[in-house]
Amino acid sequence: MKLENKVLHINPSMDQEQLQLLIDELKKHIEGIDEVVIEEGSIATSGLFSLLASLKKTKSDIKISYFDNKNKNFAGIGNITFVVQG
Amino acid sequence: MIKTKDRVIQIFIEESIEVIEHLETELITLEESPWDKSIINEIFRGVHTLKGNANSFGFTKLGGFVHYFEDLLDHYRDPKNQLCDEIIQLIFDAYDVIQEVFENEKEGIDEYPVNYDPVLNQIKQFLNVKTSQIQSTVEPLGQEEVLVEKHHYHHDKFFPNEVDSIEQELKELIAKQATNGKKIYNVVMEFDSDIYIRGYNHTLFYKLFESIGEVVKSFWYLDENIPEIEEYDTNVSYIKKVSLYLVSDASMLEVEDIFEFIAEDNEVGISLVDSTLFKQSQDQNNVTNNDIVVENSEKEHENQTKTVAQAKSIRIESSKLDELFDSIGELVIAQSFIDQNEQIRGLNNLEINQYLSMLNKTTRLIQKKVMNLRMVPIRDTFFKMKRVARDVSKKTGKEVELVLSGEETEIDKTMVDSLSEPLIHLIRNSIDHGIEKSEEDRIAAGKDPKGTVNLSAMHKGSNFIIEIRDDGRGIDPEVILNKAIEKGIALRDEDYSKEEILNFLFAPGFSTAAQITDVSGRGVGLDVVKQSIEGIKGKIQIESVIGEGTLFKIILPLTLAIIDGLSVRVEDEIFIVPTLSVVESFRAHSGEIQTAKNKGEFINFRGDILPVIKLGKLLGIDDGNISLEETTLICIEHERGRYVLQVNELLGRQQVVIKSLSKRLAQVKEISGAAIMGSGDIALILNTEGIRDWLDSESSNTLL
Repeated sequence: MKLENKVLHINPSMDQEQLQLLIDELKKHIEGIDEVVIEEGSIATSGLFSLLASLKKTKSDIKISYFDNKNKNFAGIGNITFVVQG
Repeated sequence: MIKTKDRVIQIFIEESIEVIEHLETELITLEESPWDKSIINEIFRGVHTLKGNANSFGFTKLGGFVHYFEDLLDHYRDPKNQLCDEIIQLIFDAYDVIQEVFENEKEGIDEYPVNYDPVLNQIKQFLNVKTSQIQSTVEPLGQEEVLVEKHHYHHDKFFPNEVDSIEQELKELIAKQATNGKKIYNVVMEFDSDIYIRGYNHTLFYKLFESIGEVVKSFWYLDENIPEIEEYDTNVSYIKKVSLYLVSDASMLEVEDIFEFIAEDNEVGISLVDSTLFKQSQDQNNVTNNDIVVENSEKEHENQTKTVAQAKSIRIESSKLDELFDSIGELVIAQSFIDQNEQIRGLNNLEINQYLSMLNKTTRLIQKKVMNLRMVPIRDTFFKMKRVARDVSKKTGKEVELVLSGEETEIDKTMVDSLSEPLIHLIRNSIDHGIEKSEEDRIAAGKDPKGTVNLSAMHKGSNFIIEIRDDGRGIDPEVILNKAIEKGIALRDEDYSKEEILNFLFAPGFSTAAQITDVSGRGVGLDVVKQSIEGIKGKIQIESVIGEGTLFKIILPLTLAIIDGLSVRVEDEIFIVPTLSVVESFRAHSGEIQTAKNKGEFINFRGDILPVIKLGKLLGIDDGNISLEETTLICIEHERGRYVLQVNELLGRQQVVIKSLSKRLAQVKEISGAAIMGSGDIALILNTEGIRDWLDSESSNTLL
């Protein structure tokens, strides 16, 4: 994970424990993050998706490549459509 | 011969034989009820199994053919596509090719059946036409409401609404799969929120799916109430559901195996998406595709349940069963030794007697159960005859219905295998020669234009009886006699009974057909049928009435292995009389005995005058001078009438294992086998059928 010029770079292979570290960083720096970019690689845990969704909910103007890109093809997972369900 | 002894291949071959045999019966049912999609689904499953197995075991010719055949069947699984006669015939032709190519590959013959290419081309031609129809319908699908997830979501607050835009994409993906023969599974994972604590997550399953196929599309449903970062808990899953579409060749069970370590079964739902449904929803506007998918899912679930139920049976080599059966036979003999041991009998110890009684009961129970292992319904063999009747009916241009009854009647498995060929011949014979040549002939005879052949099975006494009865023109004894005389089988000046004349039909080389037909006149006569039946200790009879029809009756023993018998003594010899043939044993009073000149002695048995056979004299043990009043008489049930056997003494009743006789003794028709008695003595088993034959042939015998 790396924050540069308000862009947070995240390695998709992080596990649940590393996600907790990410949350801690997000809590500290959320105001200084305008964009989240997920680097190339396979996603290790589905928790990353919901964490990013939580981030989007917290800061709706944040740009998250996973959600904003039209092409949502993820390595090892294929094409995904995210749906919010009540 | 099978080139490799690999047991796995052997199992594949055995399974394939079962599948192919089952397909044949299903095809007949399909022709009768072409609208019934459950039948074509059943056939499809069988063919799919065959395809998978064939490709796995290097039966490439079979696999290649079945691949396209499966596509053909798949098309007709669609409720909208109804089978016509032409396609049904194509399916039958394809089945014949499958049967032949399987036999070739099994035997290591590197040849394609003659019809392989023509039938395959017909199927391909059909599929090409349908494929072009599918492609032309892709565009209109965009107007349909097909996305199964659609009604589950509402417009979210922080993701752009893109579901509508991907509908078309998904539809096209699925429609595309309809053309390449792959299956599409919809896998829905609804894990509880504690899955991370349980040690797994959704993406893990994607990795596992890679081994069996490709996930072409996923829908991830996130909880609307997902907390903001401050309250976010990484131990909780906020993914309510993941619905994905997996394209794969794998079976449902293989897909289910991916989730085998999931504790809660209700967390995962798997259904097979019928891709052809995407082509038909225009006509089903009142039914959402979601409904359709659910419906298919349920059907598939039923099918899978059925598959699982079938999987509960296990395959056992018949040789192992035979070994078990032999061992049980030895156990029965040992049991008899104990029962008849004088020292044990003399112990007079209540406790030991109780244990012996328990042992006796248990032995009989085991024996009965093992016996049942060998018994199978005649059903499958009968169903094969439907195909035979169908083909002969078509070839001869005669409309004939084969009516089955008693198909659940059980018979020894070893005998079933020997019955197919004789039955095929008799069914062909009944339709080709028995049923009138034209509908006009039948109408003129006051009959239904459609001919009927009844094939029935039943247990009667100690016999298993099969009857093939047609309502055709019957057999003219005069024609048969003339033919028999012409062939040198019968003597011109001899006086023959009708039964004797009809029996000439079973003489080697006898054929009444003016021309050898493609159907039943193949140079193999009814003599071969008779030989086959006699080979399994049975016999065949024929009855016929001109203008009314003909009946072939096959009479067989129930089993070839163990019988329940009465042991009887004639002088110093012990014989076994099969209990199922015995009506009653009794003593006669002088007033009940009658003697007819040159006809022997008769007994008045409950009002019936029955002929008496003195067993000692018949078998050359004594001279038959012992009077009937001084001995035991046994009334024997028989198809052609009861008769009475005279023996010296009735010893008891017991189960005996039939041991085959030497070639020399096997020629004695009155004896069917031998048994080792508890005392160690050998007893001969009487053939009540053979004795009746002797009685009939010796109606004026002075031995009586």
